[in-house]
Amino acid sequence: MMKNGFLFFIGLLAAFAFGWGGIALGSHKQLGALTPYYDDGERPCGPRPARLRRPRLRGLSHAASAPSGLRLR
Amino acid sequence: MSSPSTNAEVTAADTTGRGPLLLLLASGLVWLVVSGILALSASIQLHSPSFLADCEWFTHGRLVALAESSFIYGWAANVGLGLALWVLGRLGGAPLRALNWAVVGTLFWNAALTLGLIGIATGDATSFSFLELPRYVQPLMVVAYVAIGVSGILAWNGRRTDGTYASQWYAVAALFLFPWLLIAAQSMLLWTPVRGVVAAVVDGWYVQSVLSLWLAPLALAGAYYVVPKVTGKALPSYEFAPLAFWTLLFVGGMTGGRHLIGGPVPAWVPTLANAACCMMLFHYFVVALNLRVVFSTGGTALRFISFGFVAYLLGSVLDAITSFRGAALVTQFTYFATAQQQLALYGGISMMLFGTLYFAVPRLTGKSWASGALVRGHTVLAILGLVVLIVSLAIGGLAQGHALNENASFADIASRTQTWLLGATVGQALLLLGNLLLLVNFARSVCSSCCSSAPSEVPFRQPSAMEAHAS
Repeated sequence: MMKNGFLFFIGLLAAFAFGWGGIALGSHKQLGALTPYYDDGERPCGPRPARLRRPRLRGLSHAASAPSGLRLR
Repeated sequence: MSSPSTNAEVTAADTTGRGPLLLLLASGLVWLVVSGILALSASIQLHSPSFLADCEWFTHGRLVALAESSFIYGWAANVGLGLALWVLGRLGGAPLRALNWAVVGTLFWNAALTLGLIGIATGDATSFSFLELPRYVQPLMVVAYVAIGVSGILAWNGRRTDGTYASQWYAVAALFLFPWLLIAAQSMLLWTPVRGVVAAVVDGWYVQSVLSLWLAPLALAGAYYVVPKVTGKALPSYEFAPLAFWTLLFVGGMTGGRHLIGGPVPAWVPTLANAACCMMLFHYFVVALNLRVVFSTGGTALRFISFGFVAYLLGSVLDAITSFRGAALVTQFTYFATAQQQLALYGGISMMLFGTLYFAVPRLTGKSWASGALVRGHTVLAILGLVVLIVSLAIGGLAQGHALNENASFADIASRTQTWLLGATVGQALLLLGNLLLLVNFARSVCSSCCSSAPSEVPFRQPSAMEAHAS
Protein backbone atom coordinates (compact mmCIF):
# COMPACT_ATOMS: atom_id res chain seq x y z
CA MET A 1 0.00 0.00 0.00
CA MET A 2 2.81 2.41 0.81
CA LYS A 3 4.26 1.93 -2.69
CA ASN A 4 0.98 2.10 -4.58
CA GLY A 5 0.18 5.76 -5.10
CA PHE A 6 -3.52 5.25 -5.78
CA LEU A 7 -4.12 3.05 -2.73
CA PHE A 8 -2.07 5.43 -0.60
CA PHE A 9 -4.25 8.39 -1.54
CA ILE A 10 -7.39 6.33 -0.97
CA GLY A 11 -6.04 5.56 2.50
CA LEU A 12 -5.42 9.26 3.16
CA LEU A 13 -8.94 10.13 2.08
CA ALA A 14 -10.35 7.34 4.23
CA ALA A 15 -8.43 8.68 7.24
CA PHE A 16 -9.87 12.15 6.67
CA ALA A 17 -13.39 10.80 6.14
CA PHE A 18 -13.12 8.62 9.24
CA GLY A 19 -12.37 11.57 11.53
CA TRP A 20 -14.67 14.06 9.84
CA GLY A 21 -17.56 11.65 9.54
CA GLY A 22 -17.13 10.28 13.03
CA ILE A 23 -16.75 13.50 14.96
CA ALA A 24 -18.11 16.41 12.93
CA LEU A 25 -20.91 14.77 10.97
CA GLY A 26 -21.77 12.35 13.78
CA SER A 27 -22.38 15.10 16.31
CA HIS A 28 -24.20 17.17 13.69
CA LYS A 29 -26.50 14.23 12.92
CA GLN A 30 -27.24 13.79 16.60
CA LEU A 31 -27.73 17.42 17.59
CA GLY A 32 -28.15 19.44 14.40
CA ALA A 33 -31.91 18.88 14.10
CA LEU A 34 -32.73 19.92 17.66
CA THR A 35 -34.86 23.01 18.01
CA PRO A 36 -32.77 25.95 19.20
CA TYR A 37 -33.65 27.31 22.61
CA TYR A 38 -33.90 31.06 22.92
CA ASP A 39 -34.04 32.77 26.27
CA ASP A 40 -36.21 35.86 25.88
CA GLY A 41 -34.62 37.48 28.88
CA GLU A 42 -31.12 37.11 27.50
CA ARG A 43 -29.49 40.09 25.82
CA PRO A 44 -26.32 40.10 23.70
CA CYS A 45 -23.28 40.23 25.94
CA GLY A 46 -21.47 42.81 23.81
CA PRO A 47 -22.06 45.46 21.15
CA ARG A 48 -22.74 44.13 17.69
CA PRO A 49 -20.42 45.21 14.84
CA ALA A 50 -21.68 48.35 13.15
CA ARG A 51 -22.39 46.65 9.85
CA LEU A 52 -24.70 44.12 11.52
CA ARG A 53 -26.81 46.71 13.30
CA ARG A 54 -30.21 47.28 11.75
CA PRO A 55 -30.29 50.80 10.27
CA ARG A 56 -32.92 53.08 11.73
CA LEU A 57 -35.51 54.23 9.24
CA ARG A 58 -35.56 57.95 8.85
CA GLY A 59 -39.34 58.08 8.62
CA LEU A 60 -39.78 56.13 11.82
CA SER A 61 -37.34 58.28 13.75
CA HIS A 62 -39.26 61.38 12.70
CA ALA A 63 -42.47 59.60 13.55
CA ALA A 64 -41.24 58.87 17.05
CA SER A 65 -40.93 62.57 17.77
CA ALA A 66 -44.12 63.54 15.93
CA PRO A 67 -47.50 64.06 17.59
CA SER A 68 -49.27 60.79 18.17
CA GLY A 69 -51.90 61.48 15.56
CA LEU A 70 -49.29 61.77 12.77
CA ARG A 71 -47.29 58.59 13.54
CA LEU A 72 -46.81 56.08 10.78
CA ARG A 73 -48.55 52.79 11.16
CA MET B 1 33.66 25.89 -9.19
CA SER B 2 32.21 23.53 -6.61
CA SER B 3 34.26 21.22 -4.46
CA PRO B 4 33.62 17.46 -4.54
CA SER B 5 32.05 17.44 -1.09
CA THR B 6 29.61 20.13 -2.08
CA ASN B 7 28.66 18.29 -5.24
CA ALA B 8 27.99 15.16 -3.23
CA GLU B 9 25.66 16.92 -0.81
CA VAL B 10 23.86 19.37 -3.09
CA THR B 11 21.48 17.46 -5.34
CA ALA B 12 19.49 18.48 -8.39
CA ALA B 13 16.44 18.95 -6.19
CA ASP B 14 18.41 21.50 -4.16
CA THR B 15 19.65 23.56 -7.08
CA THR B 16 16.36 23.63 -9.01
CA GLY B 17 14.28 24.32 -5.93
CA ARG B 18 16.63 26.82 -4.31
CA GLY B 19 14.69 30.01 -5.02
CA PRO B 20 11.14 28.84 -4.27
CA LEU B 21 12.15 26.84 -1.21
CA LEU B 22 14.24 29.64 0.25
CA LEU B 23 11.29 31.99 -0.34
CA LEU B 24 9.07 29.68 1.72
CA LEU B 25 11.66 29.37 4.48
CA ALA B 26 12.33 33.12 4.59
CA SER B 27 8.60 33.86 4.78
CA GLY B 28 8.22 31.41 7.63
CA LEU B 29 11.09 32.91 9.62
CA VAL B 30 9.72 36.44 9.23
CA TRP B 31 6.32 35.26 10.47
CA LEU B 32 8.03 33.49 13.37
CA VAL B 33 9.49 36.77 14.59
CA VAL B 34 6.19 38.60 14.01
CA SER B 35 4.27 35.97 15.97
CA GLY B 36 6.90 36.15 18.73
CA ILE B 37 6.37 39.91 19.09
CA LEU B 38 2.60 39.43 19.22
CA ALA B 39 2.83 36.54 21.70
CA LEU B 40 5.16 38.53 23.94
CA SER B 41 2.74 41.47 23.93
CA ALA B 42 -0.18 39.17 24.77
CA SER B 43 1.85 37.59 27.57
CA ILE B 44 2.69 41.00 29.06
CA GLN B 45 -1.00 41.89 29.10
CA LEU B 46 -1.74 38.91 31.35
CA HIS B 47 0.10 40.48 34.29
CA SER B 48 0.04 44.14 33.19
CA PRO B 49 -3.47 44.62 31.79
CA SER B 50 -2.93 48.28 30.95
CA PHE B 51 -0.29 47.42 28.34
CA LEU B 52 -1.70 48.43 24.92
CA ALA B 53 -5.15 48.50 26.51
CA ASP B 54 -6.03 51.78 24.79
CA CYS B 55 -5.21 50.46 21.34
CA GLU B 56 -8.28 48.79 19.86
CA TRP B 57 -6.22 46.72 17.39
CA PHE B 58 -4.18 45.11 20.13
CA THR B 59 -6.62 44.17 22.85
CA HIS B 60 -5.77 40.82 24.46
CA GLY B 61 -8.22 38.66 22.54
CA ARG B 62 -7.09 40.05 19.21
CA LEU B 63 -3.41 39.75 20.11
CA VAL B 64 -3.80 36.08 21.03
CA ALA B 65 -5.62 35.38 17.77
CA LEU B 66 -2.99 37.31 15.81
CA ALA B 67 -0.11 35.45 17.49
CA GLU B 68 -1.75 32.06 16.99
CA SER B 69 -2.65 32.65 13.34
CA SER B 70 0.74 34.07 12.39
CA PHE B 71 2.49 31.20 14.15
CA ILE B 72 0.46 28.40 12.54
CA TYR B 73 -0.29 29.78 9.09
CA GLY B 74 2.84 31.94 8.87
CA TRP B 75 5.72 30.13 10.50
CA ALA B 76 4.70 26.48 10.63
CA ALA B 77 2.92 26.41 7.27
CA ASN B 78 5.62 28.17 5.24
CA VAL B 79 8.60 26.36 6.74
CA GLY B 80 6.80 23.03 6.98
CA LEU B 81 5.75 23.20 3.33
CA GLY B 82 9.20 24.29 2.22
CA LEU B 83 10.89 21.43 4.05
CA ALA B 84 8.28 18.89 2.90
CA LEU B 85 8.83 19.86 -0.74
CA TRP B 86 12.58 19.66 -0.20
CA VAL B 87 12.36 16.17 1.32
CA LEU B 88 10.04 14.93 -1.44
CA GLY B 89 12.31 16.36 -4.13
CA ARG B 90 15.40 14.77 -2.67
CA LEU B 91 13.87 11.35 -2.07
CA GLY B 92 12.03 11.39 -5.38
CA GLY B 93 15.35 11.39 -7.19
CA ALA B 94 14.31 14.06 -9.68
CA PRO B 95 14.19 17.86 -9.73
CA LEU B 96 11.00 19.39 -8.36
CA ARG B 97 8.41 20.35 -10.94
CA ALA B 98 5.75 23.09 -11.04
CA LEU B 99 7.87 25.38 -8.91
CA ASN B 100 6.38 28.46 -10.56
CA TRP B 101 3.09 27.39 -9.00
CA ALA B 102 4.82 27.13 -5.65
CA VAL B 103 6.18 30.67 -5.93
CA VAL B 104 2.80 32.11 -6.89
CA GLY B 105 1.13 30.09 -4.17
CA THR B 106 3.62 31.33 -1.57
CA LEU B 107 3.04 34.95 -2.53
CA PHE B 108 -0.73 34.59 -2.43
CA TRP B 109 -0.66 32.55 0.80
CA ASN B 110 1.33 35.24 2.58
CA ALA B 111 -0.74 38.05 1.06
CA ALA B 112 -3.92 36.35 2.25
CA LEU B 113 -2.43 35.82 5.69
CA THR B 114 -1.40 39.48 5.93
CA LEU B 115 -4.89 40.56 4.90
CA GLY B 116 -6.38 38.13 7.39
CA LEU B 117 -4.24 39.42 10.25
CA ILE B 118 -5.29 42.98 9.46
CA GLY B 119 -8.86 41.70 9.48
CA ILE B 120 -8.39 40.15 12.93
CA ALA B 121 -6.90 43.38 14.26
CA THR B 122 -9.83 45.40 12.92
CA GLY B 123 -12.41 43.11 14.47
CA ASP B 124 -13.30 40.69 11.68
CA ALA B 125 -11.95 37.57 13.40
CA THR B 126 -14.11 34.52 13.72
CA SER B 127 -14.66 32.99 17.15
CA PHE B 128 -13.11 29.62 16.28
CA SER B 129 -9.74 28.50 17.57
CA PHE B 130 -7.13 27.96 14.83
CA LEU B 131 -9.63 29.42 12.35
CA GLU B 132 -9.67 33.04 13.47
CA LEU B 133 -8.73 34.43 10.06
CA PRO B 134 -11.74 36.27 8.55
CA ARG B 135 -13.88 34.29 6.16
CA TYR B 136 -13.07 36.52 3.18
CA VAL B 137 -9.44 35.32 3.06
CA GLN B 138 -10.17 31.63 3.58
CA PRO B 139 -10.91 30.62 -0.04
CA LEU B 140 -7.74 32.34 -1.21
CA MET B 141 -5.73 30.40 1.35
CA VAL B 142 -7.09 27.08 0.08
CA VAL B 143 -6.21 27.93 -3.53
CA ALA B 144 -2.75 29.20 -2.57
CA TYR B 145 -2.06 26.08 -0.52
CA VAL B 146 -3.02 23.80 -3.40
CA ALA B 147 -0.71 25.77 -5.70
CA ILE B 148 2.20 25.22 -3.31
CA GLY B 149 1.40 21.58 -2.61
CA VAL B 150 1.04 20.48 -6.22
CA SER B 151 4.82 20.46 -6.62
CA GLY B 152 5.17 17.95 -3.78
CA ILE B 153 2.41 15.70 -5.10
CA LEU B 154 4.07 15.69 -8.53
CA ALA B 155 7.40 14.79 -6.90
CA TRP B 156 5.71 11.87 -5.14
CA ASN B 157 3.93 10.60 -8.25
CA GLY B 158 6.99 11.04 -10.48
CA ARG B 159 9.54 9.54 -8.11
CA ARG B 160 12.27 7.48 -9.68
CA THR B 161 12.88 5.17 -6.73
CA ASP B 162 11.18 1.85 -6.15
CA GLY B 163 10.69 2.04 -2.40
CA THR B 164 9.07 4.76 -0.38
CA TYR B 165 10.15 6.15 2.98
CA ALA B 166 8.42 7.31 6.13
CA SER B 167 9.45 10.90 5.51
CA GLN B 168 7.67 10.78 2.13
CA TRP B 169 4.48 9.35 3.63
CA TYR B 170 4.29 12.04 6.27
CA ALA B 171 5.09 14.84 3.81
CA VAL B 172 2.52 13.70 1.22
CA ALA B 173 -0.14 13.16 3.89
CA ALA B 174 0.36 16.70 5.21
CA LEU B 175 0.28 18.23 1.73
CA PHE B 176 -2.80 16.28 0.68
CA LEU B 177 -4.93 16.38 3.81
CA PHE B 178 -4.79 20.01 4.86
CA PRO B 179 -6.96 21.45 2.04
CA TRP B 180 -9.65 18.87 2.86
CA LEU B 181 -9.50 19.82 6.53
CA LEU B 182 -9.68 23.51 5.79
CA ILE B 183 -12.56 23.18 3.33
CA ALA B 184 -14.55 20.93 5.68
CA ALA B 185 -14.03 23.26 8.64
CA GLN B 186 -14.85 26.37 6.60
CA SER B 187 -18.02 24.87 5.20
CA MET B 188 -19.29 23.73 8.61
CA LEU B 189 -18.23 26.76 10.63
CA LEU B 190 -18.20 29.74 8.27
CA TRP B 191 -20.23 29.19 5.09
CA THR B 192 -23.13 27.01 6.27
CA PRO B 193 -22.55 27.18 10.01
CA VAL B 194 -23.75 24.36 12.20
CA ARG B 195 -25.73 25.45 15.23
CA GLY B 196 -24.96 25.67 18.89
CA VAL B 197 -22.69 23.20 20.56
CA VAL B 198 -21.99 21.30 17.34
CA ALA B 199 -19.79 24.23 16.29
CA ALA B 200 -17.58 23.63 19.33
CA VAL B 201 -17.31 19.93 18.47
CA VAL B 202 -16.40 20.68 14.85
CA ASP B 203 -13.84 23.26 15.91
CA GLY B 204 -12.33 20.80 18.40
CA TRP B 205 -12.02 18.27 15.57
CA TYR B 206 -10.41 20.88 13.30
CA VAL B 207 -7.88 22.03 15.92
CA GLN B 208 -6.76 18.50 16.66
CA SER B 209 -6.70 17.54 12.98
CA VAL B 210 -4.48 20.52 12.18
CA LEU B 211 -2.06 19.30 14.83
CA SER B 212 -2.24 15.57 14.07
CA LEU B 213 -2.87 15.42 10.34
CA TRP B 214 -0.93 18.44 9.15
CA LEU B 215 1.66 19.97 11.47
CA ALA B 216 2.89 16.79 13.17
CA PRO B 217 3.36 14.98 9.82
CA LEU B 218 5.26 18.00 8.45
CA ALA B 219 7.60 17.90 11.45
CA LEU B 220 7.98 14.11 11.41
CA ALA B 221 8.76 14.14 7.68
CA GLY B 222 11.83 16.23 8.41
CA ALA B 223 12.85 14.25 11.49
CA TYR B 224 12.57 10.88 9.70
CA TYR B 225 14.72 12.26 6.90
CA VAL B 226 17.43 14.01 8.89
CA VAL B 227 18.04 11.56 11.74
CA PRO B 228 19.41 8.66 9.66
CA LYS B 229 21.30 11.09 7.45
CA VAL B 230 23.20 12.64 10.33
CA THR B 231 23.67 9.58 12.51
CA GLY B 232 24.60 7.36 9.58
CA LYS B 233 22.45 4.57 10.98
CA ALA B 234 19.35 2.92 9.62
CA LEU B 235 16.34 3.56 11.82
CA PRO B 236 15.64 0.68 14.22
CA SER B 237 12.27 -1.11 14.13
CA TYR B 238 11.53 0.63 10.85
CA GLU B 239 9.06 -2.07 9.83
CA PHE B 240 6.59 -0.67 12.40
CA ALA B 241 6.69 2.84 10.92
CA PRO B 242 3.66 2.29 8.62
CA LEU B 243 1.56 1.26 11.63
CA ALA B 244 2.55 4.42 13.47
CA PHE B 245 1.74 6.47 10.38
CA TRP B 246 -1.77 5.11 9.91
CA THR B 247 -2.48 5.23 13.64
CA LEU B 248 -1.69 8.94 13.63
CA LEU B 249 -3.91 9.61 10.64
CA PHE B 250 -6.90 7.53 11.69
CA VAL B 251 -6.87 8.16 15.44
CA GLY B 252 -5.15 11.55 15.79
CA GLY B 253 -8.14 13.65 14.77
CA MET B 254 -10.39 11.79 17.20
CA THR B 255 -8.61 13.21 20.25
CA GLY B 256 -10.03 16.73 19.85
CA GLY B 257 -13.02 16.09 22.10
CA ARG B 258 -10.82 16.09 25.21
CA HIS B 259 -11.09 19.89 25.24
CA LEU B 260 -14.86 19.57 25.68
CA ILE B 261 -14.89 17.52 28.90
CA GLY B 262 -17.66 18.85 31.13
CA GLY B 263 -19.24 20.83 28.30
CA PRO B 264 -22.82 20.45 27.04
CA VAL B 265 -21.78 17.90 24.40
CA PRO B 266 -22.79 14.27 24.00
CA ALA B 267 -20.85 12.09 26.45
CA TRP B 268 -19.43 9.98 23.64
CA VAL B 269 -17.38 12.91 22.30
CA PRO B 270 -14.97 13.28 25.27
CA THR B 271 -15.07 9.55 25.95
CA LEU B 272 -14.04 8.78 22.40
CA ALA B 273 -11.28 11.37 22.71
CA ASN B 274 -10.08 9.71 25.90
CA ALA B 275 -9.90 6.30 24.20
CA ALA B 276 -8.21 7.84 21.15
CA CYS B 277 -5.56 9.54 23.35
CA CYS B 278 -4.70 6.16 24.84
CA MET B 279 -4.59 4.51 21.39
CA MET B 280 -2.28 7.25 20.18
CA LEU B 281 0.31 6.09 22.68
CA PHE B 282 1.03 3.28 20.21
CA HIS B 283 1.98 5.85 17.56
CA TYR B 284 4.28 7.63 19.98
CA PHE B 285 5.80 4.37 21.11
CA VAL B 286 6.74 3.38 17.56
CA VAL B 287 8.09 6.87 16.81
CA ALA B 288 10.18 6.54 19.98
CA LEU B 289 11.48 3.16 18.79
CA ASN B 290 12.35 4.56 15.36
CA LEU B 291 13.94 7.83 16.37
CA ARG B 292 15.75 6.77 19.55
CA VAL B 293 19.06 6.89 17.66
CA VAL B 294 18.70 10.67 17.66
CA PHE B 295 20.58 10.74 20.98
CA SER B 296 23.60 8.86 19.62
CA THR B 297 25.21 11.81 17.82
CA GLY B 298 25.61 15.53 18.45
CA GLY B 299 25.19 18.50 16.11
CA THR B 300 22.79 21.38 15.88
CA ALA B 301 20.16 19.66 13.75
CA LEU B 302 20.00 16.61 15.99
CA ARG B 303 20.02 18.73 19.13
CA PHE B 304 16.84 20.46 18.01
CA ILE B 305 15.25 17.27 16.75
CA SER B 306 16.05 15.37 19.95
CA PHE B 307 14.51 18.17 22.02
CA GLY B 308 11.46 18.19 19.76
CA PHE B 309 11.26 14.41 19.94
CA VAL B 310 11.22 14.46 23.76
CA ALA B 311 8.64 17.27 23.78
CA TYR B 312 6.49 15.36 21.27
CA LEU B 313 6.49 12.27 23.50
CA LEU B 314 5.98 14.24 26.71
CA GLY B 315 3.07 16.10 25.12
CA SER B 316 1.44 12.80 24.19
CA VAL B 317 1.63 11.52 27.76
CA LEU B 318 0.21 14.79 29.11
CA ASP B 319 -2.59 14.68 26.52
CA ALA B 320 -3.49 11.15 27.61
CA ILE B 321 -3.45 12.05 31.31
CA THR B 322 -5.48 15.24 30.97
CA SER B 323 -8.06 13.51 28.76
CA PHE B 324 -9.33 11.78 31.91
CA ARG B 325 -12.06 13.67 33.69
CA GLY B 326 -10.30 13.55 37.05
CA ALA B 327 -7.26 15.39 35.70
CA ALA B 328 -9.34 17.74 33.57
CA LEU B 329 -11.11 18.95 36.71
CA VAL B 330 -7.89 20.75 37.61
CA THR B 331 -6.27 21.49 34.25
CA GLN B 332 -9.12 22.45 31.94
CA PHE B 333 -9.65 26.14 31.16
CA THR B 334 -6.35 27.01 32.84
CA TYR B 335 -2.86 28.01 31.72
CA PHE B 336 -1.96 24.33 31.89
CA ALA B 337 -3.86 23.80 28.63
CA THR B 338 -1.88 26.70 27.14
CA ALA B 339 1.33 25.00 28.31
CA GLN B 340 0.24 21.78 26.58
CA GLN B 341 -0.47 23.65 23.36
CA GLN B 342 2.91 25.38 23.51
CA LEU B 343 4.58 22.04 24.21
CA ALA B 344 2.99 20.56 21.09
CA LEU B 345 3.32 23.55 18.75
CA TYR B 346 6.65 24.94 19.89
CA GLY B 347 8.33 22.13 21.77
CA GLY B 348 7.42 19.25 19.48
CA ILE B 349 6.66 20.57 16.02
CA SER B 350 8.74 23.76 15.82
CA MET B 351 11.87 22.25 17.34
CA MET B 352 11.81 19.41 14.82
CA LEU B 353 11.28 21.97 12.06
CA PHE B 354 14.26 23.97 13.39
CA GLY B 355 16.42 20.84 13.26
CA THR B 356 15.43 20.08 9.67
CA LEU B 357 15.92 23.73 8.76
CA TYR B 358 19.48 23.69 10.10
CA PHE B 359 20.15 20.62 7.99
CA ALA B 360 18.45 21.85 4.81
CA VAL B 361 19.61 25.46 4.45
CA PRO B 362 23.33 24.70 3.85
CA ARG B 363 22.31 22.25 1.14
CA LEU B 364 19.97 24.72 -0.48
CA THR B 365 22.45 27.60 -0.41
CA GLY B 366 25.53 25.47 -1.06
CA LYS B 367 27.25 27.08 1.91
CA SER B 368 27.39 26.49 5.63
CA TRP B 369 25.56 28.78 8.06
CA ALA B 370 27.06 32.26 8.16
CA SER B 371 27.70 32.36 11.91
CA GLY B 372 28.30 29.51 14.32
CA ALA B 373 27.87 31.91 17.24
CA LEU B 374 24.38 32.83 16.11
CA VAL B 375 23.51 29.14 15.75
CA ARG B 376 24.70 28.46 19.30
CA GLY B 377 22.88 31.55 20.56
CA HIS B 378 19.63 30.45 18.96
CA THR B 379 19.99 26.93 20.32
CA VAL B 380 20.54 28.08 23.89
CA LEU B 381 17.82 30.75 23.82
CA ALA B 382 15.25 28.48 22.17
CA ILE B 383 15.73 25.62 24.60
CA LEU B 384 15.97 27.86 27.65
CA GLY B 385 13.00 30.01 26.60
CA LEU B 386 10.84 27.02 25.87
CA VAL B 387 11.58 25.32 29.19
CA VAL B 388 10.91 28.54 31.12
CA LEU B 389 7.70 29.21 29.17
CA ILE B 390 6.21 25.74 29.52
CA VAL B 391 7.19 25.17 33.14
CA SER B 392 5.85 28.60 34.14
CA LEU B 393 2.55 28.09 32.36
CA ALA B 394 2.15 24.55 33.68
CA ILE B 395 2.77 25.47 37.32
CA GLY B 396 0.69 28.62 37.00
CA GLY B 397 -2.09 26.57 35.41
CA LEU B 398 -2.10 24.04 38.22
CA ALA B 399 -2.24 26.83 40.79
CA GLN B 400 -5.06 28.43 38.83
CA GLY B 401 -6.96 25.14 38.60
CA HIS B 402 -6.75 24.45 42.31
CA ALA B 403 -7.81 28.01 43.11
CA LEU B 404 -10.79 27.72 40.77
CA ASN B 405 -11.87 24.50 42.47
CA GLU B 406 -11.63 26.25 45.84
CA ASN B 407 -13.94 28.99 44.51
CA ALA B 408 -11.24 31.57 45.19
CA SER B 409 -11.92 35.15 44.13
CA PHE B 410 -10.67 36.50 40.82
CA ALA B 411 -8.19 38.78 42.59
CA ASP B 412 -6.85 35.86 44.61
CA ILE B 413 -6.38 33.72 41.50
CA ALA B 414 -4.65 36.59 39.72
CA SER B 415 -2.23 37.11 42.60
CA ARG B 416 -1.44 33.37 42.81
CA THR B 417 -0.59 33.14 39.10
CA GLN B 418 1.15 36.46 38.60
CA THR B 419 4.66 35.19 39.31
CA TRP B 420 4.27 32.35 36.85
CA LEU B 421 2.87 34.66 34.19
CA LEU B 422 5.95 36.84 34.61
CA GLY B 423 8.03 33.71 34.06
CA ALA B 424 6.06 32.97 30.89
CA THR B 425 6.80 36.48 29.63
CA VAL B 426 10.51 35.92 30.25
CA GLY B 427 10.24 32.68 28.28
CA GLN B 428 8.52 34.45 25.37
CA ALA B 429 11.20 37.15 25.39
CA LEU B 430 13.99 34.56 25.26
CA LEU B 431 12.27 32.76 22.40
CA LEU B 432 11.81 36.00 20.48
CA LEU B 433 15.47 36.90 20.92
CA GLY B 434 16.55 33.44 19.77
CA ASN B 435 14.30 33.60 16.73
CA LEU B 436 15.72 37.01 15.82
CA LEU B 437 19.20 35.47 15.85
CA LEU B 438 17.99 32.70 13.56
CA LEU B 439 16.44 35.18 11.13
CA VAL B 440 19.63 37.26 11.02
CA ASN B 441 21.75 34.17 10.49
CA PHE B 442 19.45 32.91 7.76
CA ALA B 443 19.51 36.28 5.97
CA ARG B 444 23.29 36.44 6.18
CA SER B 445 23.65 32.87 4.90
CA VAL B 446 21.38 33.46 1.93
CA CYS B 447 23.01 36.80 1.12
CA SER B 448 26.51 35.32 1.29
CA SER B 449 25.49 32.48 -1.04
CA CYS B 450 24.00 34.97 -3.48
CA CYS B 451 27.01 37.29 -3.39
CA SER B 452 29.68 34.62 -3.70
CA SER B 453 29.66 31.60 -5.99
CA ALA B 454 32.64 29.89 -4.28
CA PRO B 455 31.58 27.19 -1.80
CA SER B 456 32.89 27.15 1.74
CA GLU B 457 35.74 24.77 2.47
CA VAL B 458 33.89 22.44 4.83
CA PRO B 459 30.22 23.01 4.18
CA PHE B 460 28.88 19.77 5.65
CA ARG B 461 30.22 17.25 8.04
CA GLN B 462 28.31 14.22 6.80
CA PRO B 463 29.93 12.06 4.16
CA SER B 464 27.86 11.47 1.07
CA ALA B 465 27.94 7.70 1.73
CA MET B 466 25.24 8.24 4.33
CA GLU B 467 22.76 9.02 1.58
CA ALA B 468 22.14 5.28 1.39
CA HIS B 469 20.79 5.19 4.90
CA ALA B 470 18.24 7.91 4.38
CA SER B 471 14.74 7.02 5.38
